Amino acid sequence: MIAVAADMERETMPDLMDLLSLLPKIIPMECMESGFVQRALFGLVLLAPMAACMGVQVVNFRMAFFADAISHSAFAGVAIGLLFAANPHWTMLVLGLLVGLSIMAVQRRSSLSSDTVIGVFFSAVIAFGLTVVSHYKNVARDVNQFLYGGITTIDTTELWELMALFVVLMAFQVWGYNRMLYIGMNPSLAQVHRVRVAIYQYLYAALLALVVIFSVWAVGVLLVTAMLIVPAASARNFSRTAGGMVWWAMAISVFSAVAGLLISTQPWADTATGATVILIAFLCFLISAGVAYLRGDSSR
Amino acid sequence: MSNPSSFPDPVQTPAIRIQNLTVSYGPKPALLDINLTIDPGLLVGVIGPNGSGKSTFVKSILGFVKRDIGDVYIQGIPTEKAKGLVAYVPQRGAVDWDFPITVREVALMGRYGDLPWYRQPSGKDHAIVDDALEMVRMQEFSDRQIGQLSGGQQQRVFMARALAQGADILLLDEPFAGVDAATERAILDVLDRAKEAGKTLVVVHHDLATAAEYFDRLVLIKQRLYAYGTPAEVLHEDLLSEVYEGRLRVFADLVGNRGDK
Repeated sequence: MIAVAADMERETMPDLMDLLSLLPKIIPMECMESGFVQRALFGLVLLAPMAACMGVQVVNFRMAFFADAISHSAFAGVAIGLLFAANPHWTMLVLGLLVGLSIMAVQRRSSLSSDTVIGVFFSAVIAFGLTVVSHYKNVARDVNQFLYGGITTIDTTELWELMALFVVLMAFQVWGYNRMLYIGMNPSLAQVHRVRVAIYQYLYAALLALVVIFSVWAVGVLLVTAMLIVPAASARNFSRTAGGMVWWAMAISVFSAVAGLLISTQPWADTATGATVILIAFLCFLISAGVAYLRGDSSR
Repeated sequence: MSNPSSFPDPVQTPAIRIQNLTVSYGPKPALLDINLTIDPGLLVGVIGPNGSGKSTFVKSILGFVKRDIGDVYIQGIPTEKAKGLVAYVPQRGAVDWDFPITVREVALMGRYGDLPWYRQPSGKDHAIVDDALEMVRMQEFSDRQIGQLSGGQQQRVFMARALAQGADILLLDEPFAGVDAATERAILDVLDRAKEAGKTLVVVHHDLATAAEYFDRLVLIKQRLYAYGTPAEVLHEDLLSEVYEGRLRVFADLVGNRGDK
């Protein structure tokens, strides 16, 4: 069954398979021969820079909790998938998007502080997921993947989805970067200045939701925030300006993703890929903190 | 009360015209029936006790708050449509100073409103930013992260942003709050330079002791507009004691000694 599906994909999307078969030549390691490692690597190399540049904004705009709430909505997404016998990947994406946009909408209108608004949504989606999942008994596999992620099970359809998201998100970052920076620094100032704050905030929330849900597939809900935050935090140690931060974060993120995947698939390691990736990123963070300390940034 | 007759060129469009402005939060009005015309080229101080509606007043000019009734015109254009004609310098407390952004990048933000979303700032935009930084005497700090500046320098960065925007009207929210005397001088110097360049400046101010010295005109607000005019006209002891309800004995002498400018 799986083999048939793989064959079909090979017929409909030959280019991608050709591209993937080049990977062992670029990285001459034994593990690169297997198809699932190739797909995982390609997926991570797409996802890592997206998570990194969205993560820089998450750090600068102090939105870590926001990202966390979206990632936990994936749990409710799994539950809805169960209820309606739909593909949980799609229900996760749709629900993540809805939760992200709803939080943004309530936050913009409500006088409650943003962490309170997010906390309300956060608990609601978790409670919903728990209620449904507790009713069904044979869902351990789905829940496990939700918790720990499964980048090595990514298929070519999902790779195409990731590529589409990559194009849209990078376009948004290139053209929206300046205004996002403006809004992040001071929304009311940007508003006075006829920047369409609402449009940018909703677009950002939507893209962040999509990146977060894909990251849930990759590293699991427990580590999504790390995927966004750790490279950005390291980058902030290396660079003083927002622009420099983006490049540093992308470099650190891609490096950790590739290194983490390669190590996790070695026979002597055989570890969870997501966790290994985050550990490498954390090592980068330690180095960056050391660099910042030596440079005497402690006053900042 | 409005439109002091002493000012030249009455045919000019007023910089700011406010008619019957009432704003309320819940049942209590924050501003009640304000009528005021501010001519261009003036340095105007907005004074009044805490909670008197000074911030609401500024936000109404920006078109930020929902008005119950009344109209606000910026250079003859309703404020909702006049975005970009007014530049705003926020209180220092309203800015995240850890934000990883340099002085120059902040000033450059003043150009974003005029750029279509698909365009990056051009050489002309950078030249305008250079001028703005020069005007507030901050060129040498261009590449500093904004957290690494003194209070007065931080204030000037956001002045530069406002100037780079190219607006003729600048609103400043408590620029002198929490800075030392020397810094206050430096900021005032920048305000004077902006005025010489033909800008209209409206400055929320909390210190009556310096109000007469700093500003051409004063707006005295406590919900209602109590007075608008030259410092000599506004800083009357009976007027002040009515607005500040006797909390201001200290200033009684001061008002007697100062006042014509």
